[in-house]
Amino acid sequence: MAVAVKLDFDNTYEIDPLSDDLRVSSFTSELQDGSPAPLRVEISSEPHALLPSVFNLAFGPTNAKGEIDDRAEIAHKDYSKVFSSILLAGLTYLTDHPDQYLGIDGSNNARAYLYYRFLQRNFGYLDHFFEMYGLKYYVRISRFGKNQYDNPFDFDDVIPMTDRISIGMVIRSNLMYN
Amino acid sequence: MTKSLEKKIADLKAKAKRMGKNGVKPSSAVRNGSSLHKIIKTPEQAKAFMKSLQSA
Repeated sequence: MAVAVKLDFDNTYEIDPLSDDLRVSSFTSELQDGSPAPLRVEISSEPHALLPSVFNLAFGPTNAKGEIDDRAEIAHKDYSKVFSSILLAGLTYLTDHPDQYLGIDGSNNARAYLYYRFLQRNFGYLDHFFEMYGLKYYVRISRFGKNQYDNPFDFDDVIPMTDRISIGMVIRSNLMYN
Repeated sequence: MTKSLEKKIADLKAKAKRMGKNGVKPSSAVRNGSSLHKIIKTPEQAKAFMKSLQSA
C-alpha cells in the first residue's frame, strides 16, 4: 500500500449515504486493474466499550453477509482519493455530532502504524478539521524471555488518557496507539 | 473550511436526509474497539489467561 497519501476533501469519490444519520455510506473505488470496488464506511451505533463518546469508524468491502471486511487487501488505483473519501464521510458525520469522537483503529499493528503515518504526513491539512488524539488503553505483553511469566505486562506502555497528537510525533510501530 | 467543502458536506447531508428511515443500520459485526479488549474483559477471563500463560 502506498504511504504517499495526500488527503484532500476536494479529491473524493462520489459518496452515497446509506442511512439518514450518515452512520453508513458507500462509494466505489477504482482498482489498479481498472475494475470497480464498492467500499462501505460505517460508524458504529454503539460507543466504544471503554470510551463512551468514541464511535468506531470502519471501512472496507462487504462480505456475503453485508458486513465490512476490514482485513481485506485491495490494490486501489488512488489511495489518496480512497482515504479522503472515508474521512469526508467521517467529517460530515461529525458536523452533526460535535460531541462525539470517531475511533480509527487498524485491524493489525501494521495498518495502525500506516494510518498514523498518513495522519502525520497530512497533519497540517487534517489539523484544520479535526482534533486528533491517540490512546493506549490496554496493556501490551511485550516482555519476553526469562521474566516473561513473572510479569509479562508492560504497564509502562499504557497511557490511561487521550494524548493530543502533534506534528512530527514519532512512535515505534510496535508501540502504536491502539 | 472552504465554501466548496461546506457545499459538499451540505449536499451529502441533504442526500442522507432523503433516505428517510429506510436506510441501512450499522452492522453489529463492526468492531467497537480494539480486537484485544474482547479477549480479556472479565476477571475470570484474566485468570484463565494467566493460567494458560503460566502453563505454557
